[in-house]
Amino acid sequence: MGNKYKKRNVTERYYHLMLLPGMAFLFLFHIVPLGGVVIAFQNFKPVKGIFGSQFVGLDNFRRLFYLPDFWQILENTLLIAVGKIGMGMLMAVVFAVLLNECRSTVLKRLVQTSVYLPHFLSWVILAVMFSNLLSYGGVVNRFLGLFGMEPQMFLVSNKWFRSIAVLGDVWKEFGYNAVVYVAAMTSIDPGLYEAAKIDGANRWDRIWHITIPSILPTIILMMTLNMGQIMNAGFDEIFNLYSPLVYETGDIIDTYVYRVGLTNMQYSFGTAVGLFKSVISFILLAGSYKLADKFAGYRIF
Amino acid sequence: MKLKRIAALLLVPCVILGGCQSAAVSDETENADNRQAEETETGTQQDGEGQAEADSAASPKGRYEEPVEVSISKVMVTNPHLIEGQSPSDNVVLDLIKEDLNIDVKIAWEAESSEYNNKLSLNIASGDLPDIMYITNYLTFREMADNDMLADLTDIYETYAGDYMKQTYATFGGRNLEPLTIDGKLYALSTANIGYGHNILWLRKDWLDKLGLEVPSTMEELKHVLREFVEKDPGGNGPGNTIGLAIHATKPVAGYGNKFGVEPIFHSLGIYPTQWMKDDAGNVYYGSIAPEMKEGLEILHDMYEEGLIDRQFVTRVGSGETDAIVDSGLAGAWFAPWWGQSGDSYINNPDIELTVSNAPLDGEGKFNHLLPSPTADLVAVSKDCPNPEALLKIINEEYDIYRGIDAEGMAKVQPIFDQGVSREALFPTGGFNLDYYDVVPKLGKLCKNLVETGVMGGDETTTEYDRWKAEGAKRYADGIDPSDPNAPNTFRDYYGRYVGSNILDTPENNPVDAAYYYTTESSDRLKPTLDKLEEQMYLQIITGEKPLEYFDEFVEQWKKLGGDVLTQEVQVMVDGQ
Amino acid sequence: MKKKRKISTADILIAFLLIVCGLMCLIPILNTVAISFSDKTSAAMGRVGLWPINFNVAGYRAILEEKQFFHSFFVSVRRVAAGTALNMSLTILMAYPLSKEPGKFRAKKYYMWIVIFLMMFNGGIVPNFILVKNLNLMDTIWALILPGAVPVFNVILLMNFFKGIPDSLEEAAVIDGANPLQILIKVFLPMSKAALATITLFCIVNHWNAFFDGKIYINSLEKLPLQTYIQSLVVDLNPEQMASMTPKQMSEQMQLSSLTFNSAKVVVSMLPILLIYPFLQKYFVTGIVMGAVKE
Repeated sequence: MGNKYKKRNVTERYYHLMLLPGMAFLFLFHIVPLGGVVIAFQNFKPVKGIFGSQFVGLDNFRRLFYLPDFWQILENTLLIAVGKIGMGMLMAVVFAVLLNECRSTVLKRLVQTSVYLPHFLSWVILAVMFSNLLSYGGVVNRFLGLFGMEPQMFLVSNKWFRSIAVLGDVWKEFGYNAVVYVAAMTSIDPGLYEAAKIDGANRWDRIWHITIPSILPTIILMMTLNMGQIMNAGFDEIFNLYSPLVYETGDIIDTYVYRVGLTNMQYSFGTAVGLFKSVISFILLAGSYKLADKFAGYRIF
Repeated sequence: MKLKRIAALLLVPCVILGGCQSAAVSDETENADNRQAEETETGTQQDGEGQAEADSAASPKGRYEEPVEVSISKVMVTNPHLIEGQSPSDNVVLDLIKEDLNIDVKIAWEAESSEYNNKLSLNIASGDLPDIMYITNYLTFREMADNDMLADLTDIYETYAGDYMKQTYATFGGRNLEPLTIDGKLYALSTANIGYGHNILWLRKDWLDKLGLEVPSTMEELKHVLREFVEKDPGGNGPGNTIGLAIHATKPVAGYGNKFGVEPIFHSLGIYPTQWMKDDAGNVYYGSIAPEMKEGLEILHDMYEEGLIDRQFVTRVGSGETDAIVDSGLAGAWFAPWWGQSGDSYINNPDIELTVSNAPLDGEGKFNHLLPSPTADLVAVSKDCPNPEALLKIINEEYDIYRGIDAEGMAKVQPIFDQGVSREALFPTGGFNLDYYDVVPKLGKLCKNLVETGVMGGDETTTEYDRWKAEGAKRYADGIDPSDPNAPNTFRDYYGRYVGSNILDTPENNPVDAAYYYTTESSDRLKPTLDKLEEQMYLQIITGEKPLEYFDEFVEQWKKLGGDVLTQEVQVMVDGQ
Repeated sequence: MKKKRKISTADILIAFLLIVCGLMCLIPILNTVAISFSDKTSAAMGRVGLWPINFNVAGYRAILEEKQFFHSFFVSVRRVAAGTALNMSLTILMAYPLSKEPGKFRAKKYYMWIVIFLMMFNGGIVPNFILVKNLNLMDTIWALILPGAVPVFNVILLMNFFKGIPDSLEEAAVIDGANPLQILIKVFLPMSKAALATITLFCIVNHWNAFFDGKIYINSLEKLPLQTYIQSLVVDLNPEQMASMTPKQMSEQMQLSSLTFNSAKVVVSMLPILLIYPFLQKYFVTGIVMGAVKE
């Protein structure tokens, strides 16, 4: 009896030791800076430092809610994030269905090669590509010209920026996101298809009544998990694509925090906004994981 | 500093033993003696420190007794064309500074220009400032000064500014140091924001000649010329392709020296958009909401409708797109400062000919234009720096080398720069420059002399650079082979320095001073939205997206969204000056 | 027996749509490659489509002449190497204990909560900056490697994978007297080759593509990682800046903003990703499946 426990203790000691280096790093680079959020509750003046700055409680947060800009930024963040998640999932599912229905392995391979690539490219690179493409005489505008449409200034007009941001991200990720659905589809029993064909179901029927319902759990799972990302409209993308001309519709919480917190030297306020976002994100993420657990028995750990 | 204390202690036995160098005498022997002392002695390096240091270091280029270390932050040059052995933190200029002044310059950090202010902001937040800081944002400067982070340079400037600095600053009449002086104390130095960088009208002379047109001076004449360009296509671009006036894609009305901006049209009506102006009664108002603006906007809109202004200008938002229509010979006219021509237009068409005009003139035959902001970039010293005068000494040294006054130093650095290495990358104060306010027209006259009479004039302020530019203009005038790699540069020298620079201070010019050039307390909060509203207004009214009457709505909105608040704040600043 | 099925209209439609998808993903890339091989003015005027106009390699020649590009390239290479090595060792060490049932490892729950919590909360740019500064990591490659030493997402991925490894294997090793470290190395790692390959590739890609930390923590040009460097080139001039620039600075800036030069740099910086892409393709499917579909 005692032996078993002693052995467990010894084993556990190993576990602790193995976790030690990683936890040390996490502690140093995540927990320690976390202490810095205290400036969100202060009127931080660099001259006085963290310990000398005046404590103002929730003032910065109150200011956040009274700031007319804030609601605009929240709207931008949510619209872009929801757009990305929604359209992204739709496109990924559609693409997965197409792949699944394709008879030619060669074609499948070719298309997959080209479609997975954008995911691995950085937004710095993609921003250059997009601005080349979407420039006035660029490929997109000339294509539109074929249909007699007026050329548009996509990246600098408030009319288009959000759509471009959403479409850009969908373009980048739909291939990658489709993989989950493709994998789920491969585990569908072929017998179901056979039976349906015998019953006279055509292609479309089979897709709509067998394929989609079979991956519905996966879809719901992904949607639930993505819910937690609703506050992350994508700093890397927006930062590299936006410009002062589109701050009105393109500024998201993360970019706003960066600009206001740094350029305008409003350190306390910037940190407060960042903290606000983290808290909401946390609640959403925790909520979404709990839901995922309930619905799909999916647990992170 | 611990060393100082040790030094003080050592000084006592030194004096008693009489073993140290005499602390009197002139600078030169002093320096030579001290240098020798430093070399031969080890522990008692600080001999004769107290008074000797006061003497030698008290001159603008005096060498420090003991090595002084200063840290400096500067803007990163992203394309410095460095060669072996030369880098921003270790190069021939820094070596000379060490040799001549005994100052060890350490580059604390660099950041590329659009991020520089953010980086500075981060460093401010971390409470750790370098000794010397380049500052690109006036508001950041005020914030730092108001929070007591900067050293008072008033006396230091008086004592340590070199001759060149004092001479060039004198041509500004104190205007450049005013905004940096708070409560009578000077807290930063300004780069020279030289004048005469306002927009003038550039035209294709070959097109004018081909169509037998006179160089336009008034608004009507300009419109006539543009009409002729567009209809008669003197450039052979094909029907409907010729653009009359090229105009900035996103900010056609922005202020001083805005290449492709159409501000001169408004100036000819006596109004100054985007500027804080003062009326006769001393009241501050924002130029862009003056009622006369409507007249200017109407003119622009009509020109756009008629096709005299590039119909597709709003789409040319990529960098270089508007330049490209000029360079490829599509556009016949544009507003730009004296330097507003490009080598590419010459490369694409070596037969191209340009001319300039102070147009459009106002009702009294005057060409109204703005004066530039008194300051541009700044350098300041941290309050905690033990040797604030080091900044002045460094600047003096840099300039003596750069201008060739220190011939020996220049001989060492010139070969490096001749290989194309960026000066800004190697000089510790980066892009900080000193210059005479009127350097552009002065050089213009030098070029004119050389080109027209073959005589190189100039006075003691003329530099190698000036002569080189004049020679470039002459070579172009005499006819240069287009395949010569230097040809585009001579093209620019000719048109920029000779043709363009010589109409900047002619009698019809009427420089106008704004009331206030900087930001105020609420600027960063309010201005972005207001500016955005204004920028869009121009684009919308010019292209006809919104009717002219929208201007009134714009004014209302502008005032409500914070314009009134800002106007009041500016009024306070102006009244207090 | 291969059944020869006749091609229906549906098949053609599907194939067509797939091809469209594939092309859509390639077009922006091809467009930029074309621009990188075109002349400056055509590019600025937006005339370049999918094929170069006035084919020239000026952009690429400029890269060769400009040492900075190579400096940054190799900074990124070094960062990827060291960063991936560190990430992987920590990931492996952490994933193993965390994959144990709470019964076998009582403190696991606490560790998990801490790890998850840290994934979501951040002190913000300013505290992180101050920390890195105080640790004297500023302007060193370590500032790009150490803060992100533990890639939590990968840890969770590997942890889930380890969970799927049958207990029997482990028990056998225990009976043989192996300690957890030995079990990890001798039993789990060999069984996880695919998962490890995937995670390694993810690390490589993440490090290669990172740009923001370089912006904040690196102070000198020579030490900028590649993406940060490229980002600093793509800068828009505004009139206020222009007013205070000398013509020389202006023309330098204009040259820098030249589309062809930037496009060439972008193409070259894509090459490493393209090189490992075949491997990426092979393994990342595993990764996603591991992470999202739990047996």
